[in-house]
Amino acid sequence: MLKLKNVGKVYEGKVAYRALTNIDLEVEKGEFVAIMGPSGSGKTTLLNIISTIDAPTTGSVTIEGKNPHALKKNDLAKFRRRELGFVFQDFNLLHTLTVEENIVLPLTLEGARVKEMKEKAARIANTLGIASILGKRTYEISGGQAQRVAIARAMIHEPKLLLADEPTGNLDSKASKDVMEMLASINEKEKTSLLMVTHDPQAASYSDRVVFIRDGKFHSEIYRGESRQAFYQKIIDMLSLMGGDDGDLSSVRV
Amino acid sequence: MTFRQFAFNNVLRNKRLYAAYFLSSLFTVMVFFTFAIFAFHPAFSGGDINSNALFGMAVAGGIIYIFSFFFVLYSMSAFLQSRKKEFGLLMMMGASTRQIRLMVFLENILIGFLATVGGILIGLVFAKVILLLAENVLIIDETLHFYFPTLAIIVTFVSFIILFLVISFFVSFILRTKKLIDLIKGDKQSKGEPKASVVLAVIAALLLIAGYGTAFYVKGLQVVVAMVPVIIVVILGTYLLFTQLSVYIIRRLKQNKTIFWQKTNMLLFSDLSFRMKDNARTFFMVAIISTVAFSAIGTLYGFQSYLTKGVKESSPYSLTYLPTHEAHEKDIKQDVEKMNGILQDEHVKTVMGKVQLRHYDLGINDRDILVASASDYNRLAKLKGETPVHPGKNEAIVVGQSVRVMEGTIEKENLMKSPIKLDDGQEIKPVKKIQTELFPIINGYYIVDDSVIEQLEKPVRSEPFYAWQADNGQTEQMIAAGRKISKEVGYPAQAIDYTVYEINKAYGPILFIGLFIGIVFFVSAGSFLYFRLYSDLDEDKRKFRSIAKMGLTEGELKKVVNRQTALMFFAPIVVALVHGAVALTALAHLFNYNLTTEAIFVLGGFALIQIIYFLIVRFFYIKQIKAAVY
Ligand SMILES: Nc1ncnc2c1ncn2[C@@H]1O[C@H](COP(=O)(O)OP(=O)(O)O)[C@@H](O)[C@H]1O
Ligand SMILES: [Mg+2]
Repeated sequence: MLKLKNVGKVYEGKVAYRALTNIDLEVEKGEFVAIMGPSGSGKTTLLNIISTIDAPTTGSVTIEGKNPHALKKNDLAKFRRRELGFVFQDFNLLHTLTVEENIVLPLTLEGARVKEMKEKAARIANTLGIASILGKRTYEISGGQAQRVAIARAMIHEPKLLLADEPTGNLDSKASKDVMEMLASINEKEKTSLLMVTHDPQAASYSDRVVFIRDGKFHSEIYRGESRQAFYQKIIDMLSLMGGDDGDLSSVRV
Repeated sequence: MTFRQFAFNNVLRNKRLYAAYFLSSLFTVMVFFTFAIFAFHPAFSGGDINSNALFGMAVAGGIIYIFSFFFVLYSMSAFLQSRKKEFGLLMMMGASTRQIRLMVFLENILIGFLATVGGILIGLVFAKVILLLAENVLIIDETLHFYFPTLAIIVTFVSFIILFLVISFFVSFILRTKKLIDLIKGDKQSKGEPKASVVLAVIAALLLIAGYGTAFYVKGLQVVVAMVPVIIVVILGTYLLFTQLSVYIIRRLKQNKTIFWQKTNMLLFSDLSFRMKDNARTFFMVAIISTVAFSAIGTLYGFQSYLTKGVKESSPYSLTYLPTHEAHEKDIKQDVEKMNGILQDEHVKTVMGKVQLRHYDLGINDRDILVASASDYNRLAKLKGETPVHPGKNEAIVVGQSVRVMEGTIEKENLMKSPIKLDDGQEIKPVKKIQTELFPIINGYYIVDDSVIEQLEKPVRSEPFYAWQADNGQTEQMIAAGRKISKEVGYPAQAIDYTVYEINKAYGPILFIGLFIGIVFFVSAGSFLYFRLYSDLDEDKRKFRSIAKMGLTEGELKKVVNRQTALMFFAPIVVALVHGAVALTALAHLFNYNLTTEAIFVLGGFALIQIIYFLIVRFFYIKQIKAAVY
């Protein structure tokens, strides 16, 4: 459903900087792919290009057979709010809105009926265990709750592709585990394709496949197999093989 | 939640963010409205005030409106800039540009409507005060009673609803498609330092020097010719001063590690250069707008002083009478009798003195010079309670050129060095110099013993001068008497209280309007600074929170914030004060009239207001940061 071909990105500036080189990537419908790599390797850049936040310098991106970068502005807006969902490391909730209002925002933009929005918000809040905080404002909830609200917001319009940039980056290990389990179950039940950038091997082990990039280039990929535990070990091994020291990998990139 | 609800919630729940924008809009409406209350007062529509003043008011209203427009537009774009990230997020969730525009449009209509209504309400509260104030400044005969300003309300309401509507449409321009990535990273991205080159920095300095130099150099009517070029040169110079010179200086400071890495300096300078582009633009605008305010008020005030104080000082008596050369003795006598009669009718107690002004060709300074007899001089001295003089038989006392004469027209030859030569070869030597304004003469002259006058040849011209001095506290009567005298005797007679009254009356509306506009400009300059400061508040909070974790004492925090705000508040104002001082100097040259006290008064007043404003804003800013950090 997602296909990257030869994607490259050069940041123009005082010194042009090549952040991505010839990235090819395919994500099947319903697949859960994690992208890992040392800090500065171009993960966020890659995700921004897929999510149409940024444009690639070379190569093409196709989602469901369409190239979103070639869409007109209005069509692109519609495309974003129908096909894509986003989860950010720092949640990016709107602090003027309540939790519930944040969740229904994509539907509001779509112009859905209020009743429908209410129902959907209640349903998704139940699944994510945030039904009790629906009336609260964003500064009244914890980081783990905020990220679940962000996931609910990203999911409420049932996007085909969910993109997440270090969704556990600002969370403690307990909250990380909850959030990852939630993402995994959404992926499983709703058959939503999921592409997640992370530096956390624990989080990555929930995926079906991990793609490693380094210095903006494809490095390698490993598949999950049967057990999550074994997969986790393989990820750790690969990371140490890549040679990025642990400190670099686990340092929180803001 | 529908889209409209969303837009409204966004405003109502985020009051602090919107407050600055709302308040400045409110303020603008209020100013316009109070002005309208005044301008539409029924007392003016009766045709009692002259058409010039009415025209002036219309122009002033227009200026205030146009200025409001740009002010609100600027406030709004500053406000929208600070919300880039929010827009970016919404667009990520699939908001179309149209929807964002609609949202901002709705917000603006809401804020604009509330600001208009609020501004009118507050204006109504202050209406009485404004009218009282206007009454006093204006010197109009009828009182400006309070009235319900229906017309002013309608005009203000319609004008500002239109203004906000138009501005809301402008939003599309401001939100012109930026790349999403720029929007989302918006608040973290440095706008960068403006490019600074040594050449441009030098040009900045040269432009300012050239502008100032010209302003100081030109005299008299040349000032008018030089004004526009000088203004353009100085504005350019100021722009380059803030965008080039300041960047250059900060860069040099940053390169100097002993300064840059010393204690809290690093925080201060890195911040300064991070915000340099925004700051440079704000500083430039604030400096120019403040200069306009200072110069406008200074000019008007100086002009008024030129007219009133100048008149008063050049003729210190309550009433003077200086007949024309052609006047016959008979007419003079008749006029004097008439005046004495009027003074009596008005029950003014006066003392009169008459002197003869005899001018001689003494071959000094290419002009005829007054030689006064000691008894004449002493008669006027007695009138004003000044010390009499007693020159010896062959001595002269020199009365220096009036202090009101500018240096440029200083007499070539000092009278002190030139003795008076009598026909018989005798010389009358000047022995001392005094400074008085007793005679209606601005150039220097001699006082000699009465016997000397007889020995002098026939004067080139000779005319009488009459002066009356009224006892204190009779201003009202003197104005009444003056009015009659000016009607019956005309130009040669001048009753000072009445002249000043007339000048003030004619000048009042202009002064009032000028003050009004000046204050509007100055206050909006202040709110530009406020915007600039508060758009960085969140960033500052975040920054200080993380630095405080590394160990920054409250004292150090205060110091950094203090310097940062002080620089922001005073850098542009100091420039504006210097500009203003130069402008007033040029004005003084134009009128050939010393404006130092007036300039000090006006500029000092503004400096003081700015200091108070700074102290208040700093107090709250530090308080907010501390609340967020500790
Ligand atoms: N806007 C930008 N301009 C220039 N260089 C950038 C920009 N954004 C990111 N980079 C550079 O591109 C590289 C990849 O960045 P990023 O994708 O954020 O890495 P990460 O894998 O840590 O998410 C980094 O070296 C970064 O410095
Ligand atoms: Mg990243």
